[in-house]
Amino acid sequence: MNPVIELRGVGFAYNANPVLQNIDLTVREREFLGIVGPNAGGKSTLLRLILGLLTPDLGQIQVLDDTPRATRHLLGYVAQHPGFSRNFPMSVRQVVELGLLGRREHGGPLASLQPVRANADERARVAQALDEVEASDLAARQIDGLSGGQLQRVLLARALISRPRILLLDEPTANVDQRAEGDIFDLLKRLNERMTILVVSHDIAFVSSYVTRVACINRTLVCHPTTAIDAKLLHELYGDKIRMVAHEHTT
Amino acid sequence: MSEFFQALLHYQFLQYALIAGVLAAIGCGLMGPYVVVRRIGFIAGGIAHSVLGGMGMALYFGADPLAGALVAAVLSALLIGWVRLHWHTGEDILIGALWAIGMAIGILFISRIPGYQADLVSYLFGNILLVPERELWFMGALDAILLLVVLIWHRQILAVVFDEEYARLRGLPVTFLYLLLLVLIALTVVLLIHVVGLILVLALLTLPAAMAGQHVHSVARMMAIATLLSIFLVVAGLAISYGPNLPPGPTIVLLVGLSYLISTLFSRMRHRT
Ligand SMILES: Nc1ncnc2c1ncn2[C@@H]1O[C@H](COP(=O)(O)OP(=O)(O)OP(=O)(O)O)[C@@H](O)[C@H]1O
Ligand SMILES: [Mg+2]
Repeated sequence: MNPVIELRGVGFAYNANPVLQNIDLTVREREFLGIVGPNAGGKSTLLRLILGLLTPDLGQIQVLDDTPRATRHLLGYVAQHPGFSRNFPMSVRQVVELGLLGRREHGGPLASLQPVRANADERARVAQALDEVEASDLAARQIDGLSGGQLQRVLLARALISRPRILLLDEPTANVDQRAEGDIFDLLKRLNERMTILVVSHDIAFVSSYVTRVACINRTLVCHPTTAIDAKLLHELYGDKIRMVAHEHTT
Repeated sequence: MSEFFQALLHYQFLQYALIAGVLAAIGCGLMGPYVVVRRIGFIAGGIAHSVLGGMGMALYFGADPLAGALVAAVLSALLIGWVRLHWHTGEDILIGALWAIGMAIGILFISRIPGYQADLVSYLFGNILLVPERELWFMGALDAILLLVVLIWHRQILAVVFDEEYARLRGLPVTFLYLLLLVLIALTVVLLIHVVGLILVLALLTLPAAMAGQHVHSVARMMAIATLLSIFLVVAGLAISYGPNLPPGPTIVLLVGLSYLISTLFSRMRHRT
């Protein structure tokens, strides 16, 4: 089976500031890949390259056997920082609905300009997506008043409603308490039965119990099966920072 | 006030003024909410001032000033949009430049035309009492275009205005939709210049929509409320200015501004309780 995502020798720099170097990464269908690494290690940049929002300076990226730009409408994405202002006058239901717009699996870019009318099928899909992330009770709320964790769920619903083949999540549990974090990862585990998932997280110990493989990124990339995550590896990746974490565990 | 409504039956120029006011109100009621939620009032201002350059040149070369205004507005909208989408920075400086250059070109050209100084003032402050019939048709056609585009593509435009990056990821033609929006705003600006003038366009394009936004919570509803509110305020401003023979443009905007203040007070009081 062809890999769903393939990066070969990818290098990327913002202006003259190299962020990623010589990245080789192959993701197979229905993998659940955790991406970890220190701040500014290039995790978000990697996702944005896979989505075709950035173009690599070196190397090639193939997503679903095509260029990232040609296939990105088949991906679902929850960004680290939402690209809208929180006081935009919009309800949760409307936000999720907008996730339905755009290219269909089959159909050119112009198809997305066809006028759309609210219909029963669409309302059912919105309800279903909200139900899946356990946010049905939020449907009529304005996005203005949501908590960080509630907003994450809504954005996940927006990503799911287009029935993506690959889901990319950039720190989906950054604003979420520990119990809700477990809930969200349980949900991702279930979703993983029907789609490939890449999730960026700070919490390497936590994600490793869910994902099938961990990619560690700090400018370059090293992949490991989850079993191989040990103190030596963490030290290589985070350097001094990890000692503080280890210290917390002993007390 | 009743004076105005009696005079309305007798004077065609008043009837035309009323129609022009209503047509302009519809335009700004439809576009204003996009401007407000996307916070591009400054862009609208830049476009509005570049219009003067187009009108000045058109007048100087003996062409139709309205055509000059349209060309200048659309060109500066495309330029601003292109810079915004492709450079990601420097948009505000460019708008400032268009603003200044547009004004300067306009005034230079108009100063070369003997006897046109009076017209300059009317372009700056509007003269709704002198709108010729031909331009009513023109405004009506523009309104029809705005309405059509909103009816067909409101959701797509909303997606771009709400979260541009996500719209791009969904495969929407973001560049096309964003430029379309700016061009529509440019058309609206040209439309409004005849009613309240260049200087006061911003107020009418943003304040009724902002007022609507204080009381309803969706862009579509904001459009409905802002349109009705604008129609009411324009007609009321016209009526109030008629008796004491005040210039209608500034009267309308003062009324809009006062309504905005009152609306803000009300919405604050309501949120506190
Ligand atoms: N738009 C940008 N322009 C210039 N530099 C950028 C931009 N975005 C990110 N960078 C730089 O690229 C590097 C990698 O950033 P990136 O956001 O990919 O890191 P990250 O691993 O996601 O970090 P975090 O854990 O803080 O989210 C950082 O040094 C950052 O300063
Ligand atoms: Mg990041």
